Amino acid sequence: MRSLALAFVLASLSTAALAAEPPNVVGTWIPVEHSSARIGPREGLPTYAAPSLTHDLHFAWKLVITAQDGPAFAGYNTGPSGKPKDLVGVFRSDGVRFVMSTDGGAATGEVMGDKLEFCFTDAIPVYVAAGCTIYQRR
Amino acid sequence: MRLLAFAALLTAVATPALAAEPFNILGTWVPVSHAAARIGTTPSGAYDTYTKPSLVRDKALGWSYTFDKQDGAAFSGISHGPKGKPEMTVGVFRMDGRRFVLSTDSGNASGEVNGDEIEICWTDNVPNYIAASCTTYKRK
Repeated sequence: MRSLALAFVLASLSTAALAAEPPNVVGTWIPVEHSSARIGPREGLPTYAAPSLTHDLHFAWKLVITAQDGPAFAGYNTGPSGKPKDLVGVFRSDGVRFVMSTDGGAATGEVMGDKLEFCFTDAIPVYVAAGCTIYQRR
Repeated sequence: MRLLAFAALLTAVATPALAAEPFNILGTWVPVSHAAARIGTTPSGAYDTYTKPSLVRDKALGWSYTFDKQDGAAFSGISHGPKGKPEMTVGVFRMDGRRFVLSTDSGNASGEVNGDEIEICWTDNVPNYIAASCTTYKRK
């Protein structure tokens, strides 16, 4: 009986290690730190003929997650154009790191306590950009 | 002479840390768990069209992979969705030999080896379709 109990405990631990419960990320997230680099034309931004490097929070997109089902989530983010853009994302099995996609590019991120960081790379013709932003829940 | 031997030892110790032997990924990999979020119409025809975000957890909706070529860190093969056309897939392991990147016509992914399983997380960015997914695989 004792070995059965031990096997049960081990199985529970092993399952948890394989697929950790992701945090609830539904809500509005406000940028608190941001760095980005870009070159080229982008809606809502000046056209940069030379690389522009910035740490200005005004360049960070507002992030709103409206739905979540376990590791999968969806919402929108709003950038300098002011138009909300759909986003979808999924947590990895560690329940901490995630991947995210929008119509402009892709991102990877992770949740760190009450903060969330994601780093994006844009894939838009004649515009390239990369940035990392740390968010706090509003 | 002793210094030379010490330098050789240091080199031998440092080399594996710089570029570990990549995991042998050859074979067919089938989903054991899958989660995804998507909106729009997938160009491969693998999924229905969603006008609102679709959030799913169903391993039957994961893609399977058959990797038939590997040369060190680089590998290639075919991926099959739940329906629609198979896609050519190419990938490369990072220097740690455990994490890798993958690319197809429609998007790109990053993955990692966890014991005898691999996890692959995709982001798709094509006109009128965005998706993200993470799938855990076991070798068939």
